[in-house]
Amino acid sequence: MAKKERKKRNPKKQSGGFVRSLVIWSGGSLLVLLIVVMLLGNFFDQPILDRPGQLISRVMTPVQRTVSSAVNWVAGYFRSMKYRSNLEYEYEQLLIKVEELQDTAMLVAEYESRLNAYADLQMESVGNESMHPIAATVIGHDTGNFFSTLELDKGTRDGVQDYMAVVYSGGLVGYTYDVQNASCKVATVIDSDTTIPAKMSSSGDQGSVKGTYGMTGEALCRMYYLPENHLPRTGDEVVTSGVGMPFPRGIPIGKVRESTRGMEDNKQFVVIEPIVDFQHLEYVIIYRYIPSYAETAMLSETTVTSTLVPLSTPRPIPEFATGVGTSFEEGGVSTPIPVGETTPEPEMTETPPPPEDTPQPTISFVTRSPEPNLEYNRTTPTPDGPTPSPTPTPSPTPVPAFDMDSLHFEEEEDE
Amino acid sequence: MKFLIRPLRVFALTILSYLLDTCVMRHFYIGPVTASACWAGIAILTVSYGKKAAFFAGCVIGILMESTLASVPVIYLLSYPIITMLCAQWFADLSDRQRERRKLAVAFNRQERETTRFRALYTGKIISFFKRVVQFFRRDENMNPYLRIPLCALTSALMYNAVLVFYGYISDFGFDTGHVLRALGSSVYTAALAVILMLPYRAFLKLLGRKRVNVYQIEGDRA
Repeated sequence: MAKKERKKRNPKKQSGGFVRSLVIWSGGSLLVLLIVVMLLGNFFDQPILDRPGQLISRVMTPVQRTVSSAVNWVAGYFRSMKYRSNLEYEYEQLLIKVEELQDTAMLVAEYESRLNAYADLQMESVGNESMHPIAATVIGHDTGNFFSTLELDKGTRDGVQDYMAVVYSGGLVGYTYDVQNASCKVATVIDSDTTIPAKMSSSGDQGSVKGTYGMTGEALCRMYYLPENHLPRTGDEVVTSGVGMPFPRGIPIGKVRESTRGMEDNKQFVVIEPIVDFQHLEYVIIYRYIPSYAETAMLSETTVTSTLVPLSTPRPIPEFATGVGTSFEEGGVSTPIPVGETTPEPEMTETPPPPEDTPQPTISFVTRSPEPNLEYNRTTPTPDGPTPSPTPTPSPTPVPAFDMDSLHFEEEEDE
Repeated sequence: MKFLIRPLRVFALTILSYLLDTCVMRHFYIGPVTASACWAGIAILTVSYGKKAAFFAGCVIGILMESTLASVPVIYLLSYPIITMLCAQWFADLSDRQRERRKLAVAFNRQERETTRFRALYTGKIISFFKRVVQFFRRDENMNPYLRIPLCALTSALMYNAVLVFYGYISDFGFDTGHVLRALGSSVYTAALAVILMLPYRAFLKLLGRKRVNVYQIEGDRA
């Protein structure tokens, strides 16, 4: 009974307690022995003392290598996952950045085009200062399908009058009309009601340009009344002629689009493509050009005018005495001078001095200012500006004229 | 052969801790410091299986370290077993005899404190704090093992790092705040690692979710 109770109370001691203690103590002793041997191996240079450490290292190294490679693989996998997530994050950030940059680029492009417009305006103003340019903002467009007019924010208070040239980027926009105190309207060159005297820049052939917007709906012009014996080339430039209208001459209107003639009501015309982009006009320049002043100024030169004032007394006549008692008298007889006698020296009578109060002739110089630059001074627009001009094609080959007199006809001998 | 299961478990956990320390923990650096899985495993074995297992684990890890990573001779071989045994004295489960002795000592101290209470007025707060700390380690009952494991890991890692810092100091590595901070950081990280590892380790040791046995109650019931 007592043995049973002892078994119940402490069952472990009954099952292998001695062996367990033996194992524990032998294991502990082995470990201590190993430690001692390895310690001695550090202090004594005996190969046998290093053997246990080498053996353990040889056993552990492959295990450690295997585990390490497995761990490295897992770590690499997680690192790649992290790298991938970072890549996705960076990709999203870059997309946001790209959008921001696109916005900035658009803004920059907008500012650049505006700057180009300002630069063009500046060049126009500086290049044609004699035409009294003034910049104006387009505050209204006629959105109709048949008329093309603009409204500007400059009026009579700024010196704007009717029929003043309106230009932009080296091209004619139109002319002013219906000028109010603080605003005016512009009839553009593409408007069907607009007719502007013009000439071909290359040949000087004159005609008149009329818009086609109301007729065909296209932002083009037609040039009428060109001489019949001349066909303009594609790309020839059409400029204002300054005839018939108070316009400065030489303002480019457009380029010849086709080197053929159209026909409208027995009138031949050439299609002109305007230089100005009428869809994107924001600022223009009005030339406050007054032709009467300009013509006067053109005719004026440096002149010299003299005013002759007549003398109050006649010029005295000199008297000559040839001898004693000899005088040039009417009907008198001259006495011969005897030979051997010396001729007495004639006495010179003093000429009386001119009266002091005689006025001197006055010469007055009237100097005019140099001739103002009345010809439109072309400015080179910025590349972003108007449409570049097409390359002009060579003029058509001239047709040889046949003279009937110069032709020789051979008679048939058979007859 | 059932009695061999427990030593084999201890051996397996020791080797696992060693492999964790040498192969895995180098991927888990926090700043300049990393945790020591060896000290975390030793702390878990110390609290879970007692002093003998702790000594065994300390010796094995010391020998393995000395054999494979002996950058500093003798240090690993001696510091691991010695520090393990020191910490095991404080954090391992009390034996029955020790518990009885502690019980008597605590009862005696309590009686003495009752009689000499007025002295506490003069001892001051600092001294009384140290007395409480000492009494904390001389309690008559075991502390919660889940609290003892990180404490054991922290203490052993601190001692080990102190040894290394001292070794560095005498080897002209210098001694500054950076060394101290690294030692402290590494110790705290080791304690945190012990908190993480103690659940799977104790599960492997079949100690997870096991109720504490009240020996006195069993004895009383038997009586």
